[in-house]
Amino acid sequence: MKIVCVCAMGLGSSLILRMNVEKALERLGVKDAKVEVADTGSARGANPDVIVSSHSFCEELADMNVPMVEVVNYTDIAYIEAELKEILSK
Amino acid sequence: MNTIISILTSVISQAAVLVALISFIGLVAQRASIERTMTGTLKTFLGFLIMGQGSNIITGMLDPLNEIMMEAFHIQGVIPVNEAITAMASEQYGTKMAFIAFFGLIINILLARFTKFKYIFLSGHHTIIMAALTAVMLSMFGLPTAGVIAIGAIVVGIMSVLTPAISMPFVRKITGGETFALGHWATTGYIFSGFIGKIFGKNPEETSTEKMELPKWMGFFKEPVILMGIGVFIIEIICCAFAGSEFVANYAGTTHMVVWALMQGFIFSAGVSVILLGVRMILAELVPAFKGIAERIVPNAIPALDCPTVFTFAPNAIMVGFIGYTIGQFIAFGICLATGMTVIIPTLLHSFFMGGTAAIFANATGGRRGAVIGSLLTGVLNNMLCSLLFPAFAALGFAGTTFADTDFSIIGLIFYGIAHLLGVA
Repeated sequence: MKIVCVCAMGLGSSLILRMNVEKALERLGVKDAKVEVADTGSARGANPDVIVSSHSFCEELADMNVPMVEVVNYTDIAYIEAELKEILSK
Repeated sequence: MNTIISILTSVISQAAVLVALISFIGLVAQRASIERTMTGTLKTFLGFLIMGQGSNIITGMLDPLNEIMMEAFHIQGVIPVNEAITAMASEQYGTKMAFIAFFGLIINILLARFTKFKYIFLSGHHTIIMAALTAVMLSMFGLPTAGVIAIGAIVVGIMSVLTPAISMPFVRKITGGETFALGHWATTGYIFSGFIGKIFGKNPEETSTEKMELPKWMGFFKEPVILMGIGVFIIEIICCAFAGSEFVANYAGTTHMVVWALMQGFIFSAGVSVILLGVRMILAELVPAFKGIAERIVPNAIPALDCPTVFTFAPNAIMVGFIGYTIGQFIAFGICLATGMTVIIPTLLHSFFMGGTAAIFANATGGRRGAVIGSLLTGVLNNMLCSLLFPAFAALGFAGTTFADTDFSIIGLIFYGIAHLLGVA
């Protein structure tokens, strides 16, 4: 499974998201997921199974029809964990 | 023995190898698998080389632009893009940059551990950029390499805990909490904006930008690299028009001026994209390693994060700030033209990141009026600071681009001022 964290330049806030997504996955006991960072352009070409980003990028990429985790507080790992858990259970 | 020394010196003087070594140490400290350690180290190495190649692309298109601009307007315009000048600086100062960043991060951890400023600065790209700034500025003083690294690292380390600390009162208001701080080196500009909001704005809760309905088309402003391409294209076409097609043909050959200008604009974007790819690869290894080590040494560490982490709390303010900051940039442009100072070209990229964040700060203290005035004045401030500092870089052989964010300009100006007083610049 590929999770892509998206931000404007693909190297600032998306990296923070990646670290926290990896922590959340660790807590959920998920071992076979790959987490990447991207900007919106690269995200489209990356074939993600899940996208993690802020509302404005999630809205922009909505046409990709990929489950999304919309983040407000980038450090809220519990929130990311809960959202991922819900997506994974489907 | 001589062979060993020669290899070691080559290793240390090749910045790409040095940065890869830092990654290697970080990965080993985290007890990563052998495979992970090798790929991580080599990716960092590759990332640094990619960044250097991106710099070549930018220099390649900035040189003709500078000459056309000179022919057209007899001015030397400067497009401030942190990544571009950092990549250029890495050619000559790369080794110093790598050491400054490395020791700067260590000093950050030590300061967080032993003072009440528990901030861990996680915007790695800014750490690298500040390392570039200090390496370049300190070279004015003729210090030995060890001195440049020591002072540079101390600046990076102190700034890493100081700037999150001084913006924290505002960030608390914006995010409603203490879970993270702001780690972005335009902080002095943001605080300025926050105070402007307090002075000129009113009723932040009632007149907040988030209570406004903004049109959908403004969402277009979220693609920074595309915006840069369009922005540079506009600059190119204006300069080409005034320089005359005959002059431009020296560079464009038989290609029509407009088409050539479009190409040049997006070659700039291409160069920035390449640089970003390289920086991304470097940070992918360094930031998690740094965070992992820092968290083990500093209990209750507060991460200081890149500015978009506050965007989610006031998305409308970003659009307001974009417009306000752009207007401010044009005002600064006019002031530079009128006074004969270095002309800083309005760069939409900054209207998004710095304009957006400045507006968020001013909105928190002064509602939408604060957001407009705060972002506008911050745009003027940032570009005027760039203009004041650019002569220092011009003297060192840089042309066409410079450091953009407020804190880089302030630190640069402090060094420039000291150099003036000492008579070395």
